[in-house]
Amino acid sequence: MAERVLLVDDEAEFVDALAERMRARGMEVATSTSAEDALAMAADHPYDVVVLDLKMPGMDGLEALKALKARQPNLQVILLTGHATIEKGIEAMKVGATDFLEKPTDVATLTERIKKAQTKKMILVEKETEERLRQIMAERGW
Amino acid sequence: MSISPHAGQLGHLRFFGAVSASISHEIKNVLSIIRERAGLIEDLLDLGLGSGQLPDPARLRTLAARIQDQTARADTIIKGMNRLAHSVDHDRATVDLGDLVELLATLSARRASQAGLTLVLPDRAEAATPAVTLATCPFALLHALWLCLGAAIASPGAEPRIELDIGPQPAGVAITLGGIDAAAALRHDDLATSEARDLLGFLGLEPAPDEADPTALVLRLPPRLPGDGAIDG
Repeated sequence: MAERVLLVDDEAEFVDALAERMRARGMEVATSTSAEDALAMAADHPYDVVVLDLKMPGMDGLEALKALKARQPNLQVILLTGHATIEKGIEAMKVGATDFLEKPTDVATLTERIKKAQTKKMILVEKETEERLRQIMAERGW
Repeated sequence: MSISPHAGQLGHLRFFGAVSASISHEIKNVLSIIRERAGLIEDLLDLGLGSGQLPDPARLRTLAARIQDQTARADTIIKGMNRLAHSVDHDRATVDLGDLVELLATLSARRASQAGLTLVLPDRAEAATPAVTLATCPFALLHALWLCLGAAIASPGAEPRIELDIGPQPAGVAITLGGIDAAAALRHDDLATSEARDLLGFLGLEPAPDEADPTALVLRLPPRLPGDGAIDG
């Protein structure tokens, strides 16, 4: 199944070029140049992975990450940043980032991380479904 | 109480560090775009080789032009950094205020865009008037203007832009930061430190709201540095 990815970065040229390359690698990719728009898009579409720039005008990547995870805990978010510091990496992982990559990144590395993140999401969703089924069965006494 | 030389030096270094961080971030963004555009050309060529059909030359030309645009963008950024680095070459120099404000805008573009603002420079082509110059310490003046512009960026007006203007004054020159909440900018923490006050005092820079327009902060400067004292740090 194709990975459904939302790519968010305020550099329009960057997201356009990267999205085209990711589509050529079989992914379904949507793009956004603002965190606010990305939140609205994520509320309407079931993405597997959001690739998020850390520094953007208005709402920054960390704030967006927190908002996305609060609404969709299983959604996988990979943060992309111009300058990856250990502090920022730890902060991002604490609030639920799946991964943290530094720009400019290799498309092969990003693709590999997206595939891993999608697998992680599928496992989480399966576990959640199993748990829900178990609850239903226990409640109904089947 | 006067600020210590050590604190003054730290203030200058903080300014230099902030500009360097902003510029390196922007260069990283440019490199990322160049990398993806070049990668796209590679992808198209690989795809062409696989199918026995060469990629559309017009598409390749567009991608090459986009890469050239980004190298031009990087060149402007690096030139700005280079001019800032060389602004410490001379303690005193006669500077063209138009050039200095243009440099300030180049160095501050990312800071403004992160706040959702655009910096608008005066149209110098239409100015048949002579250049506005002053004798000053170029690096210290850039530092002070960086602080004032930072306060202006943190105090936006109704429109998402700040208009920078320059002009002669009866007793010197003035830079105007228009389209902001000038009173709020003046109260900004970055202008309230003893370090900032010492810096502005050294330059004789007096920021004040325009008497006729509360959306404009006027930065008045004498034609030369007050006295000939050396700045702390």
